[in-house]
Amino acid sequence: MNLKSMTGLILIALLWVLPAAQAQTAAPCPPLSACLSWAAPTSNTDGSPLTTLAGYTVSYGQAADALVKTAVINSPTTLGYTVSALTPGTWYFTIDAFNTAGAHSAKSNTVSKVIPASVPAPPTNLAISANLTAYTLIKAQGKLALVPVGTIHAGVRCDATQSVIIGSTAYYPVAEADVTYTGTVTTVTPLAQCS
Amino acid sequence: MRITIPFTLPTSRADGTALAATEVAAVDFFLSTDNGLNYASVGHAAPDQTAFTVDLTDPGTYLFRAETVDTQIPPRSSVDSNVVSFTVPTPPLAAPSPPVLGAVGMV
Repeated sequence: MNLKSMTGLILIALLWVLPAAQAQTAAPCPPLSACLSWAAPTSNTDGSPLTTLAGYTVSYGQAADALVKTAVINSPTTLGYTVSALTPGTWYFTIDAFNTAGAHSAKSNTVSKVIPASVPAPPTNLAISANLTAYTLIKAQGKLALVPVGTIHAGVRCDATQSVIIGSTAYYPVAEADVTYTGTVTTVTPLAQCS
Repeated sequence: MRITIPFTLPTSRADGTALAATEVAAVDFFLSTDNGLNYASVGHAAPDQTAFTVDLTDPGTYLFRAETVDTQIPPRSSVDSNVVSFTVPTPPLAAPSPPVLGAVGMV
């Protein structure tokens, strides 16, 4: 049988690249998939009309020179195919057409798509801690002053030195309670909460 | 006040595949001051860090959450982490000044 060979197909797009007006109605390509579309050949390589088109073979793989996977489409009117269950990485695709006698065209151009990895898991075990500064109130040169003495973990209400910690600030006993301080230290509170 | 938020970096992706530390670009932190209605970016921690620190000054309740961002191009972010909160208390009111007595009248 003297079969006429077909012209090579032109794979026109890897994705559903449509004009803006049509894009609104096009279904998005599913995750881990590549949506191929192409234009069908209309003639054989000798220029004669192609009337015996039978289908297409999609070849794909993770290297342009190793398209080891195939999908056969036994329908000449089908002009799109979704390759699914792809693993993350770059995938390459090409397609050929075959006629009713089983003769295949040359391969089309090769297109590629990067399949992204899944989103990362979120960070876990978030907690809150605050390096709170503990102060002691001392009298120096006739005035009271807050002197940092260390750090206290958030949530502690009273520590071993009988200081009082309210929220974020630690207040230590005032030795000279009868001293009236009128300076800038305004956050000192009574110590009765710690017993 | 300096707040420290420790976290554990994930070792997997959402689909269960492994996620190396080198595949993590950052851990982004978000802050809400309206009880979780809205969150805004407040900074990020590098993948080799184990905690994020932030300074809080104004009284109020602060909610924090985080997302893992990977190194893909374009980068992909995880879903939200658990939320933690911290309250900066309102400073106690200062005691009032004493009243000032006027002169005692002589009868």
